[in-house]
Amino acid sequence: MSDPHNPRPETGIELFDHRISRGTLLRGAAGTMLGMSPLLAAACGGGSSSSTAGTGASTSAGTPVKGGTLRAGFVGGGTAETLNLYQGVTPIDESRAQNLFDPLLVVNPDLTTGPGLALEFNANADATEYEIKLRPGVEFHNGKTFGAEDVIYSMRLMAKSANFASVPFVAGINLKDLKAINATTVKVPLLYPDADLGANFVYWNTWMVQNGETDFTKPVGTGPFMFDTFKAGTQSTFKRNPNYWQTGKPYVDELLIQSIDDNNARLEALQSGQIDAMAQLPTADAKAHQATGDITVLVAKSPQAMMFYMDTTQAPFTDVRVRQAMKLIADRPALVASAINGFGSIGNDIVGKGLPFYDNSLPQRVQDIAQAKSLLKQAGQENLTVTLQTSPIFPGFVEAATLLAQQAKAAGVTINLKQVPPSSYYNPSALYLKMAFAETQWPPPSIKFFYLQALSSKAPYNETHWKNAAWNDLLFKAIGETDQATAQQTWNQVQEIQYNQGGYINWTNADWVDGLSTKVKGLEPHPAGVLGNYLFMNAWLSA
Amino acid sequence: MTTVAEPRAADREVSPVLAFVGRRLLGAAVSLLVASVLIFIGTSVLPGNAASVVLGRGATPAAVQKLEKQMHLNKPLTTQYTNWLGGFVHGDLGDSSIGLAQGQKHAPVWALISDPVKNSLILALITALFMIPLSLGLGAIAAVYAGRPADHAISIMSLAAIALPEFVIGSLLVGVFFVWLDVLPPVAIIPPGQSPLSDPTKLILPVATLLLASLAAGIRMVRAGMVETLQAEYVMAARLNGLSERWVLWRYAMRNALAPSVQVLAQNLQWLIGGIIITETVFAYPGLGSLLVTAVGNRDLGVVQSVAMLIAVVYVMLNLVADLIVLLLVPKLREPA
Amino acid sequence: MTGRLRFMRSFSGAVGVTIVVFVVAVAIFGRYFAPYDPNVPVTAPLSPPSSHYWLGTDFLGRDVFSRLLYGGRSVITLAALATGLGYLIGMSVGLVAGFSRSRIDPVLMRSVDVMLAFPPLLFLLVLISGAGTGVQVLVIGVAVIQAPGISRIVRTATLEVSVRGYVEAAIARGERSYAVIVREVLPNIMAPVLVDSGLRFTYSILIIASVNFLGLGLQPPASDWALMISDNRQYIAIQAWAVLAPAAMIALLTIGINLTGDAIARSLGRSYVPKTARSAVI
Repeated sequence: MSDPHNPRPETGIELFDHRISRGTLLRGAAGTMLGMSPLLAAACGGGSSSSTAGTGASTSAGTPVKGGTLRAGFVGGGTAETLNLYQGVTPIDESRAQNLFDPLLVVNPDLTTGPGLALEFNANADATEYEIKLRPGVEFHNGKTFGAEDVIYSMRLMAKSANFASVPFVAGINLKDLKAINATTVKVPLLYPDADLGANFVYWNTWMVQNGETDFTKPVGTGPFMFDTFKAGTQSTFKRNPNYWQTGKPYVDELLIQSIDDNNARLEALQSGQIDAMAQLPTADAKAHQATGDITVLVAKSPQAMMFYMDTTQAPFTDVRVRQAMKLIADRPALVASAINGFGSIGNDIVGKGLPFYDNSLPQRVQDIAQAKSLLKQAGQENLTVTLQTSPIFPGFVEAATLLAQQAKAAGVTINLKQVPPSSYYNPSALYLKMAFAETQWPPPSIKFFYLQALSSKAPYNETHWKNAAWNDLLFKAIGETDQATAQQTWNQVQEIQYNQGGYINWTNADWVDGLSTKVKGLEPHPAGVLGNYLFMNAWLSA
Repeated sequence: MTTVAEPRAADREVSPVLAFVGRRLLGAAVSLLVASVLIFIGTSVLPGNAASVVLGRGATPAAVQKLEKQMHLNKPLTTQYTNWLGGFVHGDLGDSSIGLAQGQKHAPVWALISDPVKNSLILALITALFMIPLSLGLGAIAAVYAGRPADHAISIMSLAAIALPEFVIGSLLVGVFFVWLDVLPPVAIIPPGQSPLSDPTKLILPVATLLLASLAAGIRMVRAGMVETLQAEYVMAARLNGLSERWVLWRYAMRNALAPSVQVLAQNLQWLIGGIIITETVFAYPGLGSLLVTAVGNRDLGVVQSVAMLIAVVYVMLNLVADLIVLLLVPKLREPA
Repeated sequence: MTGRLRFMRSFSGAVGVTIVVFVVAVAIFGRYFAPYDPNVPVTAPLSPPSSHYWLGTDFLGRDVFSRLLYGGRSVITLAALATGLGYLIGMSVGLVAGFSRSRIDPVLMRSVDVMLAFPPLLFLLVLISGAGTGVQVLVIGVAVIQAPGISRIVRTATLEVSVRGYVEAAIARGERSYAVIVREVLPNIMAPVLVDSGLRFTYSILIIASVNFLGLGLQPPASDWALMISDNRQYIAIQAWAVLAPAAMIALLTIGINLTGDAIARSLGRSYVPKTARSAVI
C-alpha cells in the first residue's frame, strides 16, 4: 500500500562532515522479544510503501536475473571511512558492513526479528542468562566454519574501548563468563536482567567477525559479498560470495560502493547511469522525481526520530514549565511539510514510534500557543530569548530550526539561530553535550536502546542531562520484566514521564528516502535502513 | 617604456639576471620556510583533532587524550614541527592523522593523495592549455577593436561569467548540456587507478566551468596592456614607417602586454591549483580539492599540512617562473633599481 | 571639476552608473516594497513562479521575490567591508614597498609572496573551522585574502609613478615621504587601482558565496543574495529562479561596477581605452 506522503527522509550527512559524531546512531529496528510488533505493519505490511509512478510493484516484479555489477552511491567520509564495523557510524560504512558480515538476528521489514546466524535466543526465568543456538554449516569467506568461538571473540572485541560504536551493545553482558557450550551454543550471562537481549544484536555495529580478526584491512565475514578493494573516500568493491548460507543469493556478481559527497552530483550520477542506486536523496528532489518517474524513488517509514532537545540543567530549561511551553510551540505538521517535504510522520515527543512497547495511548501533541504563553507567564519567562544551535549535519535540521524560530514568535519567544559546523556538533570535546538547545537524530533499533543511551543515569549521550533516580529504577524494571503485559505497563509509565517532563521535542519520525535506477529490482523499502536496509543481496538488474 | 633595450655584451647581460634569479631563489626558500611555520601553527590550533573525529560521539576528553598519546600528539609542538618539516624536505609527506587514529601503524599521505594529485594536475593543465591562448586571443581582439561592438561584447560576456560563482556556472552548464540536451555526462567520477584521460567527455564540463570562471581577468589584463601599447609612440612610429599592422601587433604590442598578463596568468594558474575545490565538488571529480575539504573537516592534519605545503611550493615556483618570463620580456627591469 | 564627471559622458560609463545605482537602490530600499515577510514560509517549498509569488518560493517555502528585495544590503555591505579592509591593508603595504624600493620592499614583498602561497579557499576553510562562523571572521578572512594581491598591484603602480618627474621634484624639494605619497603618488595610482577594485569587489562576493557553499558561511535565516544562491543551488533543476534571481543581481552589480570603473579610469587620463575618433562617443 503506497503512501505518497511518507517517503523516507534522508539521513545524509552534509558535505563538510562525514564520519563524525553520529556515534551510536542506530539504524536497526526493533528486536522484539517473542512477539509481534504492532507497528508500521499498517503502512509497510510486507508490501512496499514506495511512491506512485510505477515504483510499488515494479521493484519486486519478475524473476531475478543473475549477474552484473550493482553500483551504489553514498555521502562519503573522506579518509575517515573505515571497514571496522565496530567503529563505523556513517551510512556508507554501514553499507559495507551489512554486506560483508551477518547479524545474529535479522530484522524483517515489519520490524520483527528473525533468525540470522543465531537460530534462538533462550533466556532463563529471570532473564539474567541466555543460551544462543547458532546456525550450523555457515562458512566464512575463507572457508572456516562459523561457530561459538567467533561469537565470543566478536562480543569481546565489541567491548574494547576503541570500538566505541559497539561498546554500548555489550555493556550489559558479563563478558568474562561467556562460554562456548559446544560449537553451536553460547552461554551469555548478563550483568542485569534484560528481557530482550536479542534486540542488541540486530544493529550493524554488532555483527559477527571471525575469531582473531584484528585490523580489518582485509575483512573476512560470512556475508553475501566478499572483500575486494577499498579506497577510503573514493570507492570500494566486493565480489559475490558463492557459498552464502542464504542459497541463491546474491544475484549480482559485484558490488561497488561509491563515495559522492555532493547531493546534486550523486543524483546526476544516478540520472546519467554512472551509478544504479543512490542513498540519501534530498526530499525536494524526491518529490520532483516521484512526479517524473525517470528514477525510482524508494521511500520507507521508519522510527527515525528528529528532535529538538533542551538541557534540563541549563536555564531557562531547568523549569519544567518552560520545557512544556516549548513543546507546545512547535507546529509539527508545518515542520514536516516544509523541512522535509512531508517525508515523515508527526512525532509525539517520545522516541520509537512503531517499535514494541511504544506508548500509543499518549495524546498527540499539537501546537497550543495560548497554553504555551500561559506556562511561560507562570514560569516568569514571558518574552523569553534563547539560542538554538543547529547544523546542516542532517538534512532537515537547519530547515526545521529556521521554521521553529518563526513559529516561536507567536508565543513571544525569540529564538536566535546559531549554525555550527557539523564536525563540532556531535563532538563531546567541542559542543556535544554542552549545548542548552540543539537538535539531534536517533534511529533506535529499540526503545530500550534509546533510553539506555540517552536518558539512563549512566547514559553516555545524555543530551538533556536528565537525572532522576526513581525514573531510572523504573526504566530498568521495564527492561528486565519478562511478562509482556506488565512490561508494556511499566514502559508506558517510563514514557509518560518523558512525554510530560523530558527535554525532547520529537517533531517527526522521518522516512528513509533514496533513489534507484529503474533497472534495479529487488530492493524494498525497509524501516531499518536506507536502500532497503542495505539488502543488496536481494537486488538484481533487469535487462 | 619607450626605449627598446640596447644590445649589450653577452657576459655583462648575464650577471644581473643570474643575480636576480639567485636572489629570488633565496627569497623563495625563505618564503617557504615562513609558510611552513604558518601552515603548521595555523592547522594546529584548529579545535578538535583527528582523535576526536575518529571517536565521534565517544570523544570524551579522557578517550581523546588516550588516543592522542598513542598518536604521539602529546609531544611538544616544536618537535612535531621539526619532525614534519624534516620528513617533508626528504620527500616523506608523513602519515594521515585519521589513519593513525584509526589504529593503523602507517598511513602514508602520499599513497592517499597520489591519485587525486594526478587528477587535479590533469584537469589544471587541460584548463591552462585552453586558458592561455583564449586569454591572449580574446584580449588581443578586444584591444584591437577597442571601443567597438566586439570589444563590448567580449567585455560584457566575460564579466557576466566571472560574476557568477563557479558552482552556479557548473550547475547551469549541467542544466544545458545534460538535463536539456543530454549530450555530456554531468559528473566526472573517475575510478581509482584509472586516468581521467580515458574518458575525456567527462572532463568537458569541469574544464568549461573553470575556463568561464577565470577567463575574464586574463582577458581584461591582456586587453588593457595591449591597448596602452598600441597607442605608444614607438608603435605609431612603426606604423608610420609602413610596417604592416600584424607585424606591429605581434612584435611590439603583444610583447609588452605580455608582461602584466604573465603575472595574471600565473595567478590564474595558482588559483586553478588551489581553487578547483568547488568545481571538483560539483562534478564529484576525485581531485586534490575535494580531498582537502574533507581532510579539513576530518581534522586530518597530517594530510592538510603536507598538501598545503606542496601547494605552497608549486605557487612559489610559479611566481618565480612568471617573474623570470617578465624579466625576459621587459629588459628594462634588468637594470638595478 | 568637470574632469571628474567626464566619465559620465561616455556611454558605457553612463550605463555602468545606471546599473550600479539601480542595484544599490534595490538593496537599500527594496525591502519597503516587499510583498511578504522574507522569513516566513508562504506556501510549499520550491513552487514555480505564479501571480502571487512572482519568482516562486525557495527551499523553505519563502517568497523569493521578497527575499531578493531584502537580500542586497547584507551581501553588498559584507563585500564592501571586506574589500575595503583589504584595500586598507594592501595599499599601505604596496605604497610603502613601491615607494621606498630599498630594503623594506623585498621584505614586504616576500611576506606577500608567502600569503599568496596559500590557496585562498583553503585558508578560509581553516580559519573558519578554527575561529567559528560569523560575520567578523568572514570579513577579516576575505580581506586577508585580497590584501596581498592588492599590495602587489599597488606596489607596481607606485614603482612606476615614483620615477616620474613630479614625484622626483617633490622629493628634491625636500617634502617628507608621507606628504609625497599622499599628494603626488596616491592620486596618480588611482586609475589602475580603481579598475582593479571592480573585479576585487566581485571576488569578495564570490568567495563569500563559495564559503556558504561549503557550509561555513552566513547564518540562517539571513536574507542575503550569496546565501540564497548556495542554499538553493542544489534545487536548480526544480526551481531555478531561487538561484538565478540573486545570481543575476550579483552579475548586474559586477558588470555595472566594472563598466563604471573603466570609464572613471579613462577619464582620469590613463589610456585604458584608446582615444580613437569613436571613443569620444562611447
